[in-house]
Amino acid sequence: MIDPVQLFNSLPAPLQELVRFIYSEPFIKAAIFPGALFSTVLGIFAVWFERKLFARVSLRIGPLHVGKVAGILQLIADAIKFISKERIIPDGVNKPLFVLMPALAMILSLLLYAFLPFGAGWIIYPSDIGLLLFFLVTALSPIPIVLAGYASRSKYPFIGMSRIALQLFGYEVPLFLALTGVVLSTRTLNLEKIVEAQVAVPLAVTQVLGFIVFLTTLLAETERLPFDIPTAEGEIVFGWQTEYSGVYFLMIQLAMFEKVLAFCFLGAVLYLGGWLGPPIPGVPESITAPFWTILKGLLLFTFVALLRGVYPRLTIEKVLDLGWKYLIPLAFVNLIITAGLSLLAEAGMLPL
Amino acid sequence: MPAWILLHGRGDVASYVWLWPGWSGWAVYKSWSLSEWGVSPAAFDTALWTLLLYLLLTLIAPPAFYLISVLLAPKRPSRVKKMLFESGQAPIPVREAPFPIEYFPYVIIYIAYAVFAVVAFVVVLDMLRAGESLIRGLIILAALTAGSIYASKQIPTLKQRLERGVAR
Repeated sequence: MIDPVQLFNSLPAPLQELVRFIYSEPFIKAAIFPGALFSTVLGIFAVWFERKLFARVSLRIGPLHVGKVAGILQLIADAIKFISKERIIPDGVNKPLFVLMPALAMILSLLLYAFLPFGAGWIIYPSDIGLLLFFLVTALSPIPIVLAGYASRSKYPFIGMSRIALQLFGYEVPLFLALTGVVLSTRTLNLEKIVEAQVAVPLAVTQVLGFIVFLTTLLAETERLPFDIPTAEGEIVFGWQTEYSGVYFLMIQLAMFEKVLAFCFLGAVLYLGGWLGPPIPGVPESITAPFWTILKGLLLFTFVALLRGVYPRLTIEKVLDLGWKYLIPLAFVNLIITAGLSLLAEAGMLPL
Repeated sequence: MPAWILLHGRGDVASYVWLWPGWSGWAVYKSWSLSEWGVSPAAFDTALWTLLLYLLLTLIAPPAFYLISVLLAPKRPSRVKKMLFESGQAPIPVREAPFPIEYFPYVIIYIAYAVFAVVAFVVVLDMLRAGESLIRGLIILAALTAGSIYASKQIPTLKQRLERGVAR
C-alpha cells in the first residue's frame, strides 16, 4: 500500500510545487470544473445529445456505431476528423481575419463560463456585477461573427453576415431589458445572490413575460431554429460559415454550442432557481448544487434542441418584427409590472 | 504591467512562479511587491487568479487546435479547392455588394433603443438604491413603455419599408 503523503514527500521540490499547483483552488476551478475541461466535455456531449434528440424527433436513430452505447463517441470522432482535414483558405479572402475570427469567437464563448455560478462557491470569478460582465461578453460576441462573414468575401457569407448583424443587434436590447427586470426584482447584479433571492419562488413564476423574452432572445442570439436565418441551410448554403472548413469550422461550431449552453445555464440561474433543489440524502451539498444547476440548464437545452425538430425557419422580416415590435414592448411591460410589484411590496401590501 | 507581476501576487501563488525562467525567488518577489506598483494585494485574490488562469486556458485553446491541425492535416493545395463557393455556377467573386437598405430604419431605431435601455437600467439601479424614487422611476418606465409601444405601431408603416417594392 502506497502512502500518498510519503509519496508526495519523496518527490523532488519542483514536482511537489507542481502537485500543489494542480491541487490548488484556482487550477481546479479554471481547468476542471466549471472551467475548461467541463465546458469542452459538455459542449461535445451537447452536440451528441442534440443530434440524437433531433434524430428521434424525425423518427431516425441518429449516431449509432462509434462507441458502444448509442454512438456516444461519434462527436469525438467527428472532432478528430475536422481537426485532421486540410486547412483550406480560399483565394480572395481577407486571410488574417479569416483565420483569427473563429478563434476569437471560441475565446468569447468560453469566457462566458467565467461568470456562471454552478453552486455556492462553484464559480470561476464571483463578482458583484457578474450579470453585467456576462452581458458585456455577450455583446462582444457578434463582432467575430460579422467579421468572419466579411472576411470570406463571398456571396453567401455576405448575405448571412448582413442577416446576423441585423438579428444579433436587434435582440440585444430586449435581452438587456429582460435582465434589467431580474436585477429589479432581486436587487443585485451578483449571480450567486440572484439565485439566493429565489429561495421562495423561482423568477420564471413571478416574471413570466421576462422569461418568455429571455427564451426568445436566447434562441435568436445563439442562432437556433426558428431563428437560424444567418446559417439557413438549403437557402444560402451555410450562411456566414460557408467558406469555413476543417479546424476553422470545428472552432466555430464549438463556439456556437458553448454559447447556447452558457445561455441555457444563465437561464437556469436567473429564472429557474439555479442550484436550489431538494437535497439528495447521502450526497454532500457541494455536489448536489452543481447537479441541480446542470440538470436545469440541460432541461432548457432540451427545449431549445426540440424546437429544431418542430419549427420551420422564420423570414428575416418576421425575425426583425418580432424583436422590435413585440419583444421590446413586452420587456418594458415586464419591467413596469416588476417595478409595480416591488412598489407594492415596499408599501407592505405584498408578502414578498 | 509586466506579465510576471501578474504571475506573482500573493504568497500562496508565488510558490509556483519557479516555472518562470530566470527567477531567483523571494528576493525578487519582495523587491517588486505589488504595493510598489500601487496595487493592493487584496485585489489579487484567489478569484482573480482563477479568472486569469481560465483566461490563459481559453487563450491557448485555439492555437492548440491550430497546432494539432498543422501536425495532422495534409497539405495538397489545388486551384479548385481555393475557389470561393458557388452553387454549381462558375465562380464570380463579389468583393463589394449593396447592404439591404430596407432594414436601414432598424439601425436608427437601434440607436434610440440603446439609449432607452441604458435609461431603463439607470432608473432601475436608482430605484434599488432609494425607496422614495420608486414612483418617479415608475413614471419614467411608463413613458419608455409608451414610447416603445408607439414605435412598434409605427414600424410597419415606415416610408422605407413601404417603398421596398419600388426600390427593387
